[in-house]
Amino acid sequence: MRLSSLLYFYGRRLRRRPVQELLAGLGIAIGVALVLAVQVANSSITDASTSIVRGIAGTATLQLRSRDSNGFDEALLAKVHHLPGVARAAPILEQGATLVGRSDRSVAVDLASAAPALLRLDGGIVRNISVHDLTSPGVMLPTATAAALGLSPAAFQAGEGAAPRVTLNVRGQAHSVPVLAVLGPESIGALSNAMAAISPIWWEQKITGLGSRDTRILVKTEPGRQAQVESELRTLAAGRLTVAPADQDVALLKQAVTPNTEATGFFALVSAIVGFLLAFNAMLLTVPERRRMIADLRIQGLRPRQLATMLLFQALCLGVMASLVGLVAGDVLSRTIFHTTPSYLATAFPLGTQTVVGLSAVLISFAGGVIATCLAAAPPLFDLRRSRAVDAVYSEDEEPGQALDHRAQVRLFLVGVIVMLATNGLLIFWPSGIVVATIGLALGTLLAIPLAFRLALRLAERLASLTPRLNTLAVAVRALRATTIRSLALAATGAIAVFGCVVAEDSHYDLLHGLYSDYSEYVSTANLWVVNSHDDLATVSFPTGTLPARIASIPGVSSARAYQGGFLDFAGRRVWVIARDASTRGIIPVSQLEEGASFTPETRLREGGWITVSQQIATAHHVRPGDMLTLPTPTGPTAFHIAATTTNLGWTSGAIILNSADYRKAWGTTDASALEIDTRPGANVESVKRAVQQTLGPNAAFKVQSSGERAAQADALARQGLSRMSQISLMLMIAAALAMAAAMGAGIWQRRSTLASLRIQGFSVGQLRAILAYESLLVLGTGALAGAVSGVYGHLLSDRFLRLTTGFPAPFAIAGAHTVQTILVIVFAALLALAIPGYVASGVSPQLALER
Amino acid sequence: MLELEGVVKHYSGPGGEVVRAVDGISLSIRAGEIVALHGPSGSGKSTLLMLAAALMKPDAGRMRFEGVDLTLMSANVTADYQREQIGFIYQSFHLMAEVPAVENAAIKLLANRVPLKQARRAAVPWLERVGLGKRLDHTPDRLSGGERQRVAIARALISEPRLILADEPTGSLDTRRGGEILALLADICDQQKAAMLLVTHDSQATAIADRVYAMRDGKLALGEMDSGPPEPLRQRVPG
Repeated sequence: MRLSSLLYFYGRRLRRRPVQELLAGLGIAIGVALVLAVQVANSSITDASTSIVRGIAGTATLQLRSRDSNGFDEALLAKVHHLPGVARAAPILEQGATLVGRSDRSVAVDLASAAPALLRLDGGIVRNISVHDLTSPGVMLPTATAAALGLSPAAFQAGEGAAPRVTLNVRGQAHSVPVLAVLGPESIGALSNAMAAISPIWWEQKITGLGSRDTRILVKTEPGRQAQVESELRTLAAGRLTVAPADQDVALLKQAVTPNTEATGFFALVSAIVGFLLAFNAMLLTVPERRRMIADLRIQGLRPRQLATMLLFQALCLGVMASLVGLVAGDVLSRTIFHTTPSYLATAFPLGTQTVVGLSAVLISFAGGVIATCLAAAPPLFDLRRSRAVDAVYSEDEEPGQALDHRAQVRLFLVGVIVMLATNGLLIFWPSGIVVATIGLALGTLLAIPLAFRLALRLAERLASLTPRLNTLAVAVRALRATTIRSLALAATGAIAVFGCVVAEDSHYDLLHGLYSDYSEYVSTANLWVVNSHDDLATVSFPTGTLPARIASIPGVSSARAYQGGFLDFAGRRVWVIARDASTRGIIPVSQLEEGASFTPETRLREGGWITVSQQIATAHHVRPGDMLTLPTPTGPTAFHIAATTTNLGWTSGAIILNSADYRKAWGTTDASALEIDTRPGANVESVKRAVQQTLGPNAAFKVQSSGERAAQADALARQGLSRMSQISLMLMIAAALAMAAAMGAGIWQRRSTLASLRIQGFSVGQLRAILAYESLLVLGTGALAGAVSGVYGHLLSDRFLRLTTGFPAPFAIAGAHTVQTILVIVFAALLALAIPGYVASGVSPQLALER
Repeated sequence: MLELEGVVKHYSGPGGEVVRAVDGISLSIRAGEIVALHGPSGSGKSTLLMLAAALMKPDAGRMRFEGVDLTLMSANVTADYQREQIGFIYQSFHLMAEVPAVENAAIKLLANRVPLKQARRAAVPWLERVGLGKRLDHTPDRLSGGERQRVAIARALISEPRLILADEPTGSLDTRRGGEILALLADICDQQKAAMLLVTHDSQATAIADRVYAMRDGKLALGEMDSGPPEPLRQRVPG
């Protein structure tokens, strides 16, 4: 058949059955949009960050890096300069800081200061910054940062009056500093989207009290001498500094976002499965009619290949159109709803905010949509295997093309069970194959629907026979039997919708619950905390001086102790280090222990020489509790015994806990990153909090928080970090309810002639409504029940995935009420949306039956 | 042209009993010959037509068209046979719902890669001959039962088949229109030397037949219809 003929026939089909095509297209578009949006949103974090890191590093390929925020002596720069093979070297001092602008708007920034030498590395970002800019005291802000602080770039361009000032909170002190410029993309490219502040290095050294200190030296080597320079740098570092590629932050960020990407990706995959299965079911609604078409054309002598071409061409047209719509919707989603940068990462990495749409994401989403459509359109092709066309459809019982006999139902059920067992059996040998198991579970659920539906109809029939007043129920059962494929497609739509929602909603709930429990336990070690503002994980250090002693003397305070911590780049990860005083009650959050509880890890940590590590770190290094692990600390490689393994404590790259004495020795510093305050029994915590705030003084850049406030803040941070999952869950629920309502609505609308036939047999409008209500309840009820049962198991798998693959704390709990609530919301929304077509269809004129 | 030899086709009935739809029928039809079948419902007439169209396989016996064994043909060759050699007028039409009359009639040409416009042009005279010149762009749901039947007739004839298999071709038509259609079919058989196997309850239809068979319980017997000898319609066909 010619292309023009194929196009013509598809055009006719589209005009004739727009609702069916629209429904199928909608399901595909939803799936494609979710897959693209999640991919784009996830990759945008790292792509934007890559632009920033590489734009700063320019032609430098190596870096010498401090292992803590105190840096190293800047005299090292001269030694680097003199190494054979070094062409250029530029120092950088970086600190985590907070800026406070107009109307007390505040934002956490990466305070990066550079010397004019940085300009000679030809980084794309700093190319347009002048030597003068890097010598004047003050900060330059990227447009995104300025906007977050309420500063307008226009004011700077017009040169109106004196430079505006902002408050810079760094290392525990607040400074009022001038804003020298707001730098847009024309000046600093991708960095204009970052939360950062750029300042001259001499000035930052002065205000941070880190005189003559740098945290990084970027090194450009002479051609062909990189290996030699790297070796020399290692000698110079003497095990106390990190020698790494200049863009190492990119790799570390990619590692850090991987668990979040995987978790979000898993949710997106569940959504995509649901989207594609909804599309599949929408296509299934058209199967009887497609089968009849195939049979009609076969008896006219069309070859099987011609029919397959025609069917696949129609699927391709639908798939391409729906996938294109999905791509546009996905792009909009990624730029709007999904356009959030996880705040928890901002304390550890330079993050950008622009959306980067990669070609691979577009191709994967598009191809996925088209392939899924072709697969969904394929079932009628089975008829082509039959040797005789008429047998395929017209020899069957019931309405032509609708039949699915009992043997086929049992076979499908058995295939479903085998698929579920096989894919879940894989988990024994391949524990991380949970994605495959979830797909198997969804498919198995789909295949089990015919038998489940048959049982539901039998029960309903039995009920109707026992209760004479339920004669309309008996009619409804007959009607559903006569249109088996259509009824099954509708029930399967409900099952898949409920399955997806239960998995996504309940796992998301568990994850948030797990993170909240973790943080609550982590901060419960003190009644009050003193931390740098916006330093959610307490990783930015400051000199404590006499502060602990002064706080300890406040009435109502029983003790004040230093909490130490920070980030450590360790074997390709930026690990969160938590160091706690041996007197702290509950050094380790017990609920987060994975392995080694029998080792009494708490006691060992107090003794010293022992640490806990996240399970992913232990797995990566092939160590277990009792083994030794050597950490690259600022004083050199230091070996520790592993007391236990934990979850990732909410930090995606993993965490290490040790006692403060070990930390002080290995990190060579007494600087704290927070102060933990215990109040005396009976003391008013609020009064003590105010007293501590007064003791800190007006120039302190600290925040005093109760453990409850800190847990709530961490919870908000976790919710923001996981907001994409919440959005996916919500969208899935809306899509599921709409898909069910649309499919049922279309089904009811198609049956108007049958309803009209009942009317001419004397059925009243009220009886027709009762029949439609019974039909809807039977279909939705069977689907929802099957979806809920498999959804609970899917929820278990999903939690396992989150724990094993991502390391997040996600304890499985059957949230019965939450699950029921999810199901009720979907079914109720679907029934509500169904009321209109049901009401209109039940009022059908008997004339319609006579016309047909 | 078409030779059936001891052809048997059995079905399983709802209670498991064997229904002998076609029970050892032998029949031979020559080019240009019209053979009519009549008999009560369920006597196996339609089954015999479907066997002749290679839409079913017989349980026993041999069926040959132009010497080729229909039971041994591959799926593709069967499709070619159905598309190019035979024109089947189905009792229940089997029209494509979303497609207008003219493309329904032209479907076999489209399957033969004839461009759409050309196929439409070729279908128009056939639809005009069956009296549907003004219904070319009507979809089946906008046509009456009789009009649908005439579209199905035009579709069967458009490929100028060597063998016409007609299952109650006048069943949905009034007497006048039925007579015209039968005259047209007879005319085509005359001019194109096509053979026709015609299943009918219409006494008019047997008038155009060279041979008339009665079918009962799957068996064939030479005989006229119970309603008596028909008017010799064929002789009245002009030209």
